[in-house]
Amino acid sequence: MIEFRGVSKWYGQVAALTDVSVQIDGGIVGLVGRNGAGKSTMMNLLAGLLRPSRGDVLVDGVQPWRSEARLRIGFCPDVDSFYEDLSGHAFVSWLLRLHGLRARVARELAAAAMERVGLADAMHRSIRGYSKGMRQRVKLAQALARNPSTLLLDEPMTGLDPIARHDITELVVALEDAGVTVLVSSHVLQELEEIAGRVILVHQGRLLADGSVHELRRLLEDRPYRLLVHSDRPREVAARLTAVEVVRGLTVDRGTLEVETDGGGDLFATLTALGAEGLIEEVRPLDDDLEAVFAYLVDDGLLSRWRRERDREARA
Amino acid sequence: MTIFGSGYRALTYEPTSWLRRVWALAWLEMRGLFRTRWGTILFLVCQIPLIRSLFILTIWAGFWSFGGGGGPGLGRMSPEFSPEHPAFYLAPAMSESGFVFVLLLTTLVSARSIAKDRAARGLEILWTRGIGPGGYFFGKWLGSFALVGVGAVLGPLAMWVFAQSASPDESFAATSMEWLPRTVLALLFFTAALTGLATALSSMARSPNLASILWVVVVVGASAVARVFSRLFRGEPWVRALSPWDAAKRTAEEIAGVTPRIEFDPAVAVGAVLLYAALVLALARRKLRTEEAVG
Repeated sequence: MIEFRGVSKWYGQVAALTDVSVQIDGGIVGLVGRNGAGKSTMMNLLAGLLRPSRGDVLVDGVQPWRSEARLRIGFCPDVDSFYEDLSGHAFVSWLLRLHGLRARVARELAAAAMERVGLADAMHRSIRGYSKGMRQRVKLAQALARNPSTLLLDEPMTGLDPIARHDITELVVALEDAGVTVLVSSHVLQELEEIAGRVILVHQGRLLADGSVHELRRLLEDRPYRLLVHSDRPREVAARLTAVEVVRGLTVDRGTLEVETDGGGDLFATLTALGAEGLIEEVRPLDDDLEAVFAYLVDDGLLSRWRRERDREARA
Repeated sequence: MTIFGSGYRALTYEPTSWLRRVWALAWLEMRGLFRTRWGTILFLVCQIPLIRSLFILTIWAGFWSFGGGGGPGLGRMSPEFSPEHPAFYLAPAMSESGFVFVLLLTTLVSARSIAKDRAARGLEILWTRGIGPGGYFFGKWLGSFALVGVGAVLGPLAMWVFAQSASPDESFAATSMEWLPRTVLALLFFTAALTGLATALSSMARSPNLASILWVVVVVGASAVARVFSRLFRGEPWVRALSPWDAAKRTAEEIAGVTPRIEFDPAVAVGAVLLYAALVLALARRKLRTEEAVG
């Protein structure tokens, strides 16, 4: 279990976190925010690398910088930090020995961890020859090797190909099944949608939102956004789309059509029909990235509306 | 929390000694040079002064005879050639020829030790293991000290054992026991001081190559400056202490009780070594903190 109790963290005059209180009882939780939002500070606090300026951070009831907590926390950093001339197995085994484990026990646990991440065949090869995906797995293996109850994954999908992403997603889900609490940080919301049941949004050192992926998705589906439609006959498509109630604006260019909409409504049904008629080649969201989501949540004041609705539902 | 399934075996927390964890770090550091063929070759090259002393020892022991000389006759040339004199055991690390090889070895091992981890951004992953910056620095230093000490301390000690066994009577043992402990202490101090300074400097560089250059510049540059200044300020005892190498060497010579090659006040030398150590350790402490960045 992870707990932040009124945690603030300042770097000199700069506040990285302000009065953050959150409790994670288990499962896979996504930690999302823009660069500089406070994700890494939260991760570093949980990994025991930093101490809060105010408040308390607890992992299974123990402060994470204490020795007894370190065995319970597995930390997979976002950067590659290896001894390149060691084999994957030797590296993981050596990191375990830094915990004070005996060499034989460390070797056994390292071998089990390498097997778990699917590197059994390559574990005695030098890390220098590993691909990006294999390196990411070694980082996961070192975090998993001690069989931690809490796993912290900092941007685990960065730079991975789709197959490696799929494998790591499967592994993380299996760990959740095994009872491990997993906190995954990312600035790409879509990455977390596949695995995280709950998402915590951090913005400027404060918790912006905390809820299920479904709640967030529902909120996002109703927001105004833009679509880019590729078509051979954009004017004909534009004429059909003007009849749709939620469409706020249309810009026609050669072969493309930019659609501004207030939300889903009948728009998707119309687009599907146009696609079936062969009028549309491709539809692509223009602002489905996290920046757009944050702009929507923060700038349009919809977050407070969402919170009020949640509170009302809770009271009911 | 109970962990079940997926091959999970819950680890129960057992307090382990700080030294055992630090030793794992030191052991890896000590073996680092031998993981490549070139590293092993360079280590062997750095043992040339020791091999040279071993050769002299075999002549002294009568294994070789060059025109009826050898044996006690070697000692008349210089104390450095006599296994019956502590200067012989200090020579592999502290002689003019030893300087190059010890500098090369400390540059390859100590000066690169922390910088390579900083370059790989590997410090934080280590600090999640229950080794703080202090333990990390100690482990890194211990590893490089042990490796450099193989040639600088263990080698001379092994030569003394060899000389002892080759000696025809017990007079060698009786006389050498008077100076051996001080000689070993001097070698330990010299090796510890140089590897310590190099390891601390290593923490200030962002890449291992930069750290190597920094260490060479500090040692060679400060020695050159000290030499130039000693001509300008004749008789000033502090001038030679500008060089960390000379200051450490003068202190070690004082501990061993041998005639110094460069005469200057040992108190100044000790003060200079302590000042350099305090300075670089204070800087290293700042550099080894967890990087605090908003994000």
